[in-house]
Amino acid sequence: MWRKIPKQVIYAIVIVAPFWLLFFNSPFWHGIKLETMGVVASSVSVANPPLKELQIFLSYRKTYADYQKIQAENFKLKAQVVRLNETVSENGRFQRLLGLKPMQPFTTIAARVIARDPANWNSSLMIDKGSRQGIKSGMPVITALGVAGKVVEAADNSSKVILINDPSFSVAVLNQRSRDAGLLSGSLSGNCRLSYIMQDTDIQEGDGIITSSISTAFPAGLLVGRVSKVYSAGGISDARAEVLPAVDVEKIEEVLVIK
Amino acid sequence: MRQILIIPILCFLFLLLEYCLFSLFGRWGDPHLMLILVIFFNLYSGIRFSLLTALFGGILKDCFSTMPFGTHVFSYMVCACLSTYIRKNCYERGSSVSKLLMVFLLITAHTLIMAFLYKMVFEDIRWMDVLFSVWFPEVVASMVSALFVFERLRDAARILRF
Repeated sequence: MWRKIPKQVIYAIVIVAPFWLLFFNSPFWHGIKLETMGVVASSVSVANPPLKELQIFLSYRKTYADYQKIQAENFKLKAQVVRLNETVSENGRFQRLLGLKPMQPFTTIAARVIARDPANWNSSLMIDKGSRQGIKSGMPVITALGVAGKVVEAADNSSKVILINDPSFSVAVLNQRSRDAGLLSGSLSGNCRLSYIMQDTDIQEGDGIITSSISTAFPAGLLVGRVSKVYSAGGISDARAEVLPAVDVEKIEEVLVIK
Repeated sequence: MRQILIIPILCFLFLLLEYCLFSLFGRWGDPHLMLILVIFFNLYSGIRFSLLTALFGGILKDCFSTMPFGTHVFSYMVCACLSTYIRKNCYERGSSVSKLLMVFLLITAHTLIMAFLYKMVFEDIRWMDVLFSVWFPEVVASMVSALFVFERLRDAARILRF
């Protein structure tokens, strides 16, 4: 039966189908697309438990090295926490004294990563919460370490999250030290790029990059990453610095979606 | 008819395999298995089955992608048509070198199509990133594994008679 279909019909399908998929954006088609997305993500997540065990087994040597590094870091951080606690209480006293409004705490929805995009073109993942749990497109996604990305599509019980290093991701940011503003976007290389910053701006390797209050998608003050490389003026396009995301996007397992 | 049932199952299994390899070894250990599957069906069953594979494989890939839905379908379908052209003009039956050449050419074509679609959608694209972060890892990983995958697929075709 299959071989009896004329070649012309096949070629017509070849020409029409991709364009139809690309440009025919009806709610009906969008619904089917979201359902497919949910089903595929849930089926792929079947591979997660054995995959995790294999990853643990393969990375045991690295894990031990990491453990030693983290133990040393832990002592430094404990000392830092004591100092920071003091600063927080001092900050609270000054806020009350000056009558400043404290930053609004945000409510979050915790979600588990069920699948990720196995392609070099994108950086996205699927989480196990969707519109039924109150997730909507455009909601910011964070982890304990900082900004992870944002929700781009929400099916009933799963959502697609575009990660911070995806080329189509961008967010308004500030240099934590110099308070210079800029635009951070993802790239195919896996790191992020900081652009639209002034030529004479003060930017150094290691500077913390946080979300700006002019960002409509993200609450202000969330850590995005650290500057890993500064380009001289007239470097690659208008990007002035490369930023290493604070979140290790390849190892995210749980996220918080800000409502 | 059997092939039509087997193609979606194989597409899903290959997506699962790509997902596992990507999670374990990152971009350097993740061959473009879906494109290899499209080439396999073109070589062993013809353009129609290859197009069907491109359609199913593309839809599965587009489910995860942040690009507009249909991007992968479009690229894979063009690659399926191109593989017919390459098969007719420079493919030598049974030759491993020409199979590898086909994989190389089609991954290059797929990368170029995706890059142009990217440029249309996001405007800004760095060609050095495309070359070193996308094309090079994909070509290396796919060419290393292509012959093995073709062999296993041929074994499967023999056993399952598709």
